[in-house]
Amino acid sequence: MRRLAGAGVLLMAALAAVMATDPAVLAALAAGAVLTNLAMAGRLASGLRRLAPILVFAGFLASLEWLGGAAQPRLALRTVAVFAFLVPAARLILWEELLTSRRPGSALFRIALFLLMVRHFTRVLAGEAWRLLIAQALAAPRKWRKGWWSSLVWALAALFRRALLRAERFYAAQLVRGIGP
Amino acid sequence: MTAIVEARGLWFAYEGGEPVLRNVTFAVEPGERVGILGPNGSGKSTLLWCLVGLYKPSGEVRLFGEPVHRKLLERVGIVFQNPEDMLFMPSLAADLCLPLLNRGVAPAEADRRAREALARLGLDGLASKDASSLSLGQRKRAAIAAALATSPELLLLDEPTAELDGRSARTLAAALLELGVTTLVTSHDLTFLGRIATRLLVLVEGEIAAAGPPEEILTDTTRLEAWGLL
Repeated sequence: MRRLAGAGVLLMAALAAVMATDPAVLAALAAGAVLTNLAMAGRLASGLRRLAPILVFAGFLASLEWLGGAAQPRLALRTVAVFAFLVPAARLILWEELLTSRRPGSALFRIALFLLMVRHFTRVLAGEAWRLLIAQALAAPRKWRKGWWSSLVWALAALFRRALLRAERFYAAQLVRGIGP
Repeated sequence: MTAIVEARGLWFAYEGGEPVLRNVTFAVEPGERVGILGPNGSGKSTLLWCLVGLYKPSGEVRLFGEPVHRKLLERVGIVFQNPEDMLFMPSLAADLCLPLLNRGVAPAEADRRAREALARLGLDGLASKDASSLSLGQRKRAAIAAALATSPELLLLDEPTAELDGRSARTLAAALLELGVTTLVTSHDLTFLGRIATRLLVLVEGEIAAAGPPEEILTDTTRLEAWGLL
């Protein structure tokens, strides 16, 4: 129950970040979200490692906003805040318990089932991406040299192709099991 | 003579989990074909990833007498369990030429060596094919050819016969026997390991439970059953 309450607070904070327009409020929410992640990770290095991709992405967004003439990087701050509040919220919720404690067909059951499927598919894709990028790095170990860029592009294209294939198979498997529209 | 692979006291656990490898110690000498035999989930693939530095175990790993570093991996050919992970370029020739071109080999020479590697695995004539148009057995052999194109001194194979039918597994074993490269292969396929391995290590729950020649390990049905391999 305490975990669910904690997740609820984090979800409210994420919602506040979606609705806030004041850059100072957004900056405070983003900082709070980052600190929450670091506190939950236990170790500073592992917390920062988890946040690195979203921080890089937010940096890219901020530079686009700056190029577009925006005085404050609202979108980048909002992205960091929402993402960094949602990740620990998702970790706090015991999804399997939520699913088994609900009546099949109820709205909450459907939401939990959908999110569990998203989590499962994300893990499958993360595994695919990890293996493919390791294979690319082993095949073209010398960065920036001949073949490195083109192999990276082909590896990402293969990942996209495989993601579609896996999604199709996953959808078919759920359909056969009677889960789905 | 320096061992090609040396692992001493390896311990490894995934974040927040129980140890997957427990005090694993072994060596692979030049010219050996060592099979790591173990049931599903025994830590075979994890051990391979630890040997090439993708996972960081505690203990010591040395390849060719040196601690593992990125440059050293250019002397190693690694074959993934799923060949599709390795064959992502538009044609087999492009897949095989990539590591050579990246290392500065001239395109004509890279092409010659790629075709030679394909021929060694019985895949001549398929250089222009996209990997997705091949059978699984052909893709497995193509992945080995891709690893061989750079003339590695050590070949690491992760479950090469997974999902292969008997005939394809036999063809693969025959191809590996002809290569003459120091090989470390993980598998739970007793027949395949019996064909190719000169020595076996049995990995059970992350520990080396036995080591010895295949004829000794593979005939001990009582222990094989206890290890969950029969």
